[in-house]
Amino acid sequence: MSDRVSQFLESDLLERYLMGATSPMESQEVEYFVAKFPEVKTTYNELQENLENYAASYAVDVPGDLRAKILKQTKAKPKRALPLLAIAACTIATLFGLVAMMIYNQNQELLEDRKFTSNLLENLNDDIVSNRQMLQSVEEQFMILNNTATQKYILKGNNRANRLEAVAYINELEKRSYVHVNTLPELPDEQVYQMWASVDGKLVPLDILKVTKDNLVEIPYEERMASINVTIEPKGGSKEATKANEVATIKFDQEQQIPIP
Amino acid sequence: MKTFVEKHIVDLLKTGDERAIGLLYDHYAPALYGVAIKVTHDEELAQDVLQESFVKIWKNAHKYDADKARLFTWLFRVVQNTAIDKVRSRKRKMNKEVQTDDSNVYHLQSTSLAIEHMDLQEHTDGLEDKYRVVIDALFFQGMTQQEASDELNIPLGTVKSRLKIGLRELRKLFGVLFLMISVL
Repeated sequence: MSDRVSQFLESDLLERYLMGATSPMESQEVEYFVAKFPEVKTTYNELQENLENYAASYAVDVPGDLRAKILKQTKAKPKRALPLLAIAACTIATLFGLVAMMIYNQNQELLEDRKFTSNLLENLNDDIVSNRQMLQSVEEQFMILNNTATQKYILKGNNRANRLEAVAYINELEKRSYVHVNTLPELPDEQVYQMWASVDGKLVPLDILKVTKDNLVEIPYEERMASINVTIEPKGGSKEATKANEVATIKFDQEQQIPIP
Repeated sequence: MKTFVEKHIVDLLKTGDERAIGLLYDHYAPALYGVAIKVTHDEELAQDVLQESFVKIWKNAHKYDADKARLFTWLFRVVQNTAIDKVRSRKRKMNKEVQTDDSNVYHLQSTSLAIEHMDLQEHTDGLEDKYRVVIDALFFQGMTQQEASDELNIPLGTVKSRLKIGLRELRKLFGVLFLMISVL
């Protein structure tokens, strides 16, 4: 027998364990020794047997009716605390899970709302920027049109395009020019109306004419413009004007030059 | 060593089989009733203790761990604790009522010892009183070793050694008995 086991057996731990008078740590120690050392287990079993015999030596006949009373009281199966606790734990866990799921869903909805609102704000900001640019452009156009240096020219088509009607605004000081096309006779799909400026005897391409209705369209300004000409050109425009297809022209030294009031 | 009956009862208890209680009662009730009487010194109270203990045993059967204690050791502790609680509860109710000298004396006037345990009684009679009072104080009165030392007016070390020697003496006494049974 090892010293350790002897020391253990000489202590009163085993006896106190039998009495149920050990601390949890002492109980663990005893259970370790009982499980590990057969001689301790044997001693412990002997102590238990002695206790049983000692108690049995004081056995007393129990009154006859007690057995029936006890059996009646213990009729139902033992109710374990564990299932009840487990049910409570499961219920709480389920509730917790449901609440967590609800919060998650709400969070997702809020995130969606936030994304939608962000997009909306972004679009509104874009609209504001666009409107500001438009307003600025309109203000600029208004300024140009109201400028005393701006000249207004009315373009009318010849017999090849007698419904053509456009107004050109030229400001030599600001070096800017605009055109407002009211009506244009229809052309085949492969043809367009192209605007030219006559500069030093040459026709310089300005822009393709389109119906602009209420809006002014800025066109390139050319120095020393003697006239503005409109020709019918192949789709996409030409680099050189086709003089034979000229449908409208206005010379700046003519009387059509009407100053804006 | 565990008997076949003990194993069978434990199996029934673990599976919640109601037959376990009947078997438990038939095999252990007299010894446990004796324990209850020794602690309470009152037959009526001891019957309440036994009844309550069996209900506790049935309800807490799943807590019994056969690796830690024999079935009787576990039953003994349930009855011992229930009886001590009952005695304390009764004492509180009595509100410091003056105890008569007789109240501390253990009488067994109308109660007869179970016949089948008479031989054991004879053998425990062979245990010297100085060991018996210590074992009784610790096992049946629910005293701690310190309380037993104070109550019996003997040093703590003596309580410990008498407990140890007393239990060892019981081993000797019962050893002789079992030897005789095995020879017969």
